[in-house]
Amino acid sequence: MAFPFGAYADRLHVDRVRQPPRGRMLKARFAGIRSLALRSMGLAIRGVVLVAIGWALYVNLRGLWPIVRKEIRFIVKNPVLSYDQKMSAKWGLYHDYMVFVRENTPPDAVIMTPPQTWPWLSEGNRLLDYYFLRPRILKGGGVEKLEVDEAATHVMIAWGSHGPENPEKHGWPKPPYPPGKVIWMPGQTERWGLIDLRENR
Amino acid sequence: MMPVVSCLLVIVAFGWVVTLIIAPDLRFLERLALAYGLGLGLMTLLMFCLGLVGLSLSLANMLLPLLLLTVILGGMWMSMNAKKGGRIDVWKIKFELLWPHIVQGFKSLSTLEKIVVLMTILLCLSHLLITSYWPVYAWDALTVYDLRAHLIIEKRSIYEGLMTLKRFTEYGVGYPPFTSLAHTWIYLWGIDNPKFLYSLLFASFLIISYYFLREHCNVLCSLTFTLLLASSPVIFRAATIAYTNFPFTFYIGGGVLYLYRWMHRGTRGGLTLAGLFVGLSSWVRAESHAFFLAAFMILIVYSLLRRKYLAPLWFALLYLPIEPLWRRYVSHSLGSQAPGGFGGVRAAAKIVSSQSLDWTRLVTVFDFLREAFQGQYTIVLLLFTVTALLHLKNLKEHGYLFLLLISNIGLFIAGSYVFSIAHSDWREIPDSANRLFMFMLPLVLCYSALTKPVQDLFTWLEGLLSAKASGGPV
Repeated sequence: MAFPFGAYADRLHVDRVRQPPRGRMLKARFAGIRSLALRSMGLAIRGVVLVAIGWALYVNLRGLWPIVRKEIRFIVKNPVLSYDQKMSAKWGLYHDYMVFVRENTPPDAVIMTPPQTWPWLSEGNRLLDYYFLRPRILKGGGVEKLEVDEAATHVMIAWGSHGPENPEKHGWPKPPYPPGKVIWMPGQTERWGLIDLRENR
Repeated sequence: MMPVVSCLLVIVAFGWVVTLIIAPDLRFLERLALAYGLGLGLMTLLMFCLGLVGLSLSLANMLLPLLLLTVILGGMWMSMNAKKGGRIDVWKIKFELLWPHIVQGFKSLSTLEKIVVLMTILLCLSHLLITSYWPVYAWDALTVYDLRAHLIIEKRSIYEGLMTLKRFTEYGVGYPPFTSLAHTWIYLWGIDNPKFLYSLLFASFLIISYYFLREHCNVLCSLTFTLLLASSPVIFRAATIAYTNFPFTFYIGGGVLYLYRWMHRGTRGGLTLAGLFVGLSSWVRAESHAFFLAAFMILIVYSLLRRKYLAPLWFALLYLPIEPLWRRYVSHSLGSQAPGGFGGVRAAAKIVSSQSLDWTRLVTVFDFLREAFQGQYTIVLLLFTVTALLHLKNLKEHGYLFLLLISNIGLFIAGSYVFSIAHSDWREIPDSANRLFMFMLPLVLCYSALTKPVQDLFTWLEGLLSAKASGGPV
């Protein structure tokens, strides 16, 4: 049997054609490396984005959880509270004082309020007081010294609900009080009360 | 319970027919969310107009015109549909298919998606529980918004109510009336706590954002970013305290999202919704003007490039009648000064153009903002920075949303800078700056979700989860 030179030569030729030159091989190898690098970079980017989203979600939930937990706990513990009780829970003594003033003054009262400076930031905010005391008329009673308006029927005695205790700063107005009947808020004698000026008018 | 359901039904029915006319091709849930938000805003506008023509503020006086308008708009929509030969179904709801459809939809979700949905629902329910329990208690809500509502109810007139306040103080008289009138609507029904309105607005906003995302992203991505929005402490908290910041976020954020939806997909009625939403944002807070102008400018560029020349005109036509309504009323009828207006924008532009940029001041402003934000936006802004940087090569994709977002952030910084020049006590209101920035949050999150790296990630995750679910190779 004759050796199939022709077929061998053909195969040799085909292989030579199929075999890429050195430059092309290098290029192919680079392309492989590049695709690997791109794939790794894609994976890295996915990782970074996944971590960023996961982290954002974690930070959000970590920030929100104490707020929701605190509120839900309170609601579960106190499912049935009145409006005033709920407001007391949020505003503390200030709201109790507003209820006290409302209950001890007639709707047509003219009330002198403390100045809106520390420590009377709430009690001195006449707009805030007005929300709870309307339709009563509220007038600013002066900063340094009580200046009683001619039309005034009542004067607030406000210890001040802001800032750390400081007997020198707290307490408005400073005694001696203008002539009138002093009514103290239960449990808050010498601190929170009301002066009824009507008897002396 | 009955008054709550009734007052909500009236708002939603009114909003529903409005959305049917404006945007007929919406999904049920999105229409519901939109109907509530739009219905509430337009209803307060109607209340104001009825007060303006001299109707005293009673439930019957407000309810009858609203119902009449709902019937008229419903009739209009029916006749429009009849002309087109379509089905005449004013509500476009197949109630009998609704529940099975929802159940089916939920069942088709993967476990991870179900967890995300349940977490979002849980957050919404906690929100509703908190707002239904606590009365209005936050400082500004008491001294301005709710106080005005009580005075309006007591005097049975918007004018008389505000004049009573004005006799006492000028503070808060000129603030836009949305929240006060929304509270008034609730008090008219004999309900003593109006705060559930904010929870429903919160849920509506999540739904609107979800459907915005769903147009571009897969389910998992849309749900994850909706959860990110729902769990943002700054938005969650702001929506529980009856301030104007969250409703403002709802309207201006929603407006920008609808505007971009219209630009990108040409959604039917998208431009009208955007115009109405941005218009209603001016009904909530006085800071909408600059942001409207930014959107308007970008819309002009878009419409010139796409040859949709009438679009900016239509957008402005929807905004401009709503915007001056309150300011004119305050200055002419109440004799007070309303904050905001294009005059403020002009004055700010004058300040900026009249002096060279003071870098030291700018750094101080940045420092102030960093302190004011108290790290509440850090993580979301970081997420935005990472995704935007990785998206740089494809910046043209969703380029208009990027422009809308960047222009709003730029305006916010410029506004803070001008404010620092114009007011010596500018440092005393860090909370206001913090709360105003809130409306960027949904935009930042939505843009981040649309970027290529996030899209790639969620496509990959979806493939991974479905391969796992089908038991195939991962």
